[in-house]
Amino acid sequence: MMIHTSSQGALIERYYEEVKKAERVICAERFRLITEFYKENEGLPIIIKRAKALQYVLNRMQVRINPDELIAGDFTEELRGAPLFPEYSCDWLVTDIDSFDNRAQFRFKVPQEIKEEIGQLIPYWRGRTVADRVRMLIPEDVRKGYDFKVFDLARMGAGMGHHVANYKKVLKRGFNAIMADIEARRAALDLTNPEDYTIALFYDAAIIVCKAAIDFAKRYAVQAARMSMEELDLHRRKRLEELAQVCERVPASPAVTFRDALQSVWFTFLIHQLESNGGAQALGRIDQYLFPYYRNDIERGISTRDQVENMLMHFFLKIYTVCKLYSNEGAEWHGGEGVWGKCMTLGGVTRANQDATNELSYLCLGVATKLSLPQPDIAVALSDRTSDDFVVKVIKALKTNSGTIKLFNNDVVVSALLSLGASIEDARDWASLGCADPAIQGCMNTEADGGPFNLAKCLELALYDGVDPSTGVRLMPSLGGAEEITSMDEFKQKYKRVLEFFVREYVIASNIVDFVHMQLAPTPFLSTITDDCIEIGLDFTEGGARYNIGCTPVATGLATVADSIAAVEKVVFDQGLLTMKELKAILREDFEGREDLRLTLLNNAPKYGNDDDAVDDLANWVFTTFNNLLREYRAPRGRRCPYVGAWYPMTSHIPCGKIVGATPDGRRAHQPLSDNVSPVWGRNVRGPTALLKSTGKLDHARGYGSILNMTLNPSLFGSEDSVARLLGFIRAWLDLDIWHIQFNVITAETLRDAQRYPEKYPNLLVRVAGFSAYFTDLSKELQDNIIQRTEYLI
Amino acid sequence: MDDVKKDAIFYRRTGGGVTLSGGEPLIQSAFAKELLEACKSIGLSTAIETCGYASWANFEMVKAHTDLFYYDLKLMGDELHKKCTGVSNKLVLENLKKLSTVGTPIIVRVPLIPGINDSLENFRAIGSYSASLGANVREIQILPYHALGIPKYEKIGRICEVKSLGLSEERSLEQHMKIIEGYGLKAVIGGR
Repeated sequence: MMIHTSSQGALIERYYEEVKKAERVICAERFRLITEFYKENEGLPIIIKRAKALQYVLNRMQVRINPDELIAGDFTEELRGAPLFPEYSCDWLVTDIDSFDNRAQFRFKVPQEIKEEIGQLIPYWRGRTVADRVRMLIPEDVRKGYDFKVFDLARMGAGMGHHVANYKKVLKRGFNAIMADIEARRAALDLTNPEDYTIALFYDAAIIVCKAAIDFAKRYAVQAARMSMEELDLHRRKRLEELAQVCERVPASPAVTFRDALQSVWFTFLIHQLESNGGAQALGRIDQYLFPYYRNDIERGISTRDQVENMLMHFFLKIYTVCKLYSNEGAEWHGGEGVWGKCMTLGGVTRANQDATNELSYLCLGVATKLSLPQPDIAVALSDRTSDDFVVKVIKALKTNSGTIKLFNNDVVVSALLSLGASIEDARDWASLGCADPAIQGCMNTEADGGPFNLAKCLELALYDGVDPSTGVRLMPSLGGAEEITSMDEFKQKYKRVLEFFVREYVIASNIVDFVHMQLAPTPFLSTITDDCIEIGLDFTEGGARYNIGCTPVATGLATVADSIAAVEKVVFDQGLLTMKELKAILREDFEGREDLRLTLLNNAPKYGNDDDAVDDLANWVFTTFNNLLREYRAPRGRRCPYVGAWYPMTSHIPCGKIVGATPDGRRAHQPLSDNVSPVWGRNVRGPTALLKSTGKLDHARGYGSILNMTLNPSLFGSEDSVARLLGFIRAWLDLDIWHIQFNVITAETLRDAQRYPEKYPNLLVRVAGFSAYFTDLSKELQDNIIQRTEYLI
Repeated sequence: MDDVKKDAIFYRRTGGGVTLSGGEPLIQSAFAKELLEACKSIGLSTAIETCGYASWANFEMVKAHTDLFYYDLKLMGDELHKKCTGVSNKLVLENLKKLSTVGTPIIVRVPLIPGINDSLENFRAIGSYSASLGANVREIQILPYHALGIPKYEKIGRICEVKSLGLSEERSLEQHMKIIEGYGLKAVIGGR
């Protein structure tokens, strides 16, 4: 790797190698400390208990400083360790622990002594976790939808996630000032007033965690000072002395230098992840809130541009070290390290709707390209205001690092946030959370990603009158058999009623999850760094954030359902080639002996992704119906907390497909569903422009995040000419009001896989010589030729 | 036209447009004229890919509605041209000359067939002829030979006779480019 910058090159190189080499490992330290504290303090009011538990952990965690790092602080005693959070759930630790080091993805090492220690700690938590409490409270009928995986409740086993803390506030004021403000508010309360007492407890808790945060950093200051005294190498010694000074200053006091700012953000990020382990606790718009410190450093000659770049590299590497342990099931749903949601957002607009891109946006993009790490994830917010120059830089970065850079359509995201109640200025200050959902920085609790909601399973239940066909278990009241359906409209209405039923069940269950979090796992630290929790005296879990939305179910299988409804329309109602009864019989047998009819369903009906209104309008009908059904409900956080649907199931379309039999679009039983808002694999045959047009027919702003993946060959990034064409393509994507796009730039490795397993890649376009061809159609010889060339291009 | 309009948003953002290509669009020049006219009426830019072997009357029909011609020029030697394509290149060269006076930009394309038309001599002749036509001939694109048709042949159970020709070597292409550039023309490898 060549990441040398100026004289500090060797240092960052060494640290990079060390971080890249480090294996993911499970650590028991937090598990042990939190269990000790809970056992001895059972009687405390929950909000105080949570604050003191965090303090207990921060005061006792091992403090470890790597002599090569510029920014101190680790998640665990290991470089890439995953801490454990038993208070949310831990039964899966018992069942899954032996497969963590050998499962298909997200492997973690589990040393034997840690396995044993975990085994000893677990019994205390039985019946005490958030997940246990949710399971206890969930009504029997609602449980069925959950047990049969029509929908999931991912959040019952994890803490608060999907938000961006108010880093700007921490940088500007520091925790000393934040704490003083809370103390003043505490002093102004009137304890004869019954409402004020709960607020007083909340403020007490907030003061405890502010102090804990300051003390945590000071432990690093002490450690760095001690190490510097023992250090013989003069350079290292100086570095450690500087580090000691920085950790002494921040996050207690306002940041002055760029390095202060990075260290302050890093401590804050770390501490709030140690309080609660939700996914997608994102970093927000670092090019915006770090910019004043960058400018100050440059103007006063505190650091050069190279030095800033170098510090950013250390910061990115730190982010890369963060990892989260998923259960086996969770690991199957999430595909790739980026889903830890350590995402930063670049570009976008200011509160006054001007282009917000600055020098730091370019620098961060450059660092991401140089390091090419799977995280942090880089989200780029684009709008008509974004300069062509910046978009071109993004396109060039995509060539080397397409895996972690994704593009968001600023104006569509802003529209969605407005429709959910945000003010226009706040809405413009959104940041990506790592999947496709946004949060307004520092003042929003989205609690997004409730896990997959299986749209195709609902279609199956509409066909089988609410009975799961493989087990014969009834999952909902009868709506009448599909045999009696005589019109397309009736069919759609029946599907809508199934959706209505399970959306309602989901909302009941999700509200219970919210309720249990308030009861068992409030988050005082997150509350001190989220507006307006302190101002109104309400914890984050209870709705203290300025904006709240209900936990979003993540709709899975959109195109499979749209294609299926279109096939029923065409083959049953238009052409009369089959009756509903016959269709059902064929599906039940998984097209056994009726390949002819499967091909009819597959080839005679329109397919989403080809710019054909006949089916694209159906896709939007499903999209909008689901979002609107959810928008009717509200979650128990705050006065205004609407539900809405999300459309980024990542890799869950594979497990979701496993539990759905054959579908009318010609899909065989247990095959994957369509992913995100993309067409079913291989069924969009009219090129990238048609794909974009189809996707553009969805009313994205009614939802809360939809993912569109597109595969490109690196040769498309080759000449200035092709970059200009991609620029035009991206501008057209903006015009079409599509929420998101991520380009998957094909590598030689993928091409080799496609050569071996052509059936997996029916759609893989490669640029050959002035034109494109389907890779799997080419001869072995030419494939080899293209593979060689691809390697050359990358 | 409905299909053409579907991509309007992309034409607007990329400055792209509609290109009529092969077979040979000038065989159906009446239809081509209508389609091009319709495209122009909604502000799209238009182009035609032609092998040049068509009556001048057919060119006349479309020329006012076309913003750019891609014009194939394979071989300057008439004997070899006859042998390989079955017809004389006289008409092709004549049409190109006439077209160059119309005022519409022309890009000359040379599909490179190893052993047939890749001689340096042929390229000198192409360069010299093109350069004599004036400023409307903007550039020469050299299209390297490719074997993409082979799997298709195999799929329909036929044998592709040109298998043994091999793929174009990048190295020799540079020589060809230099020759073209020597005549003051812009040379590009591959289409865009």
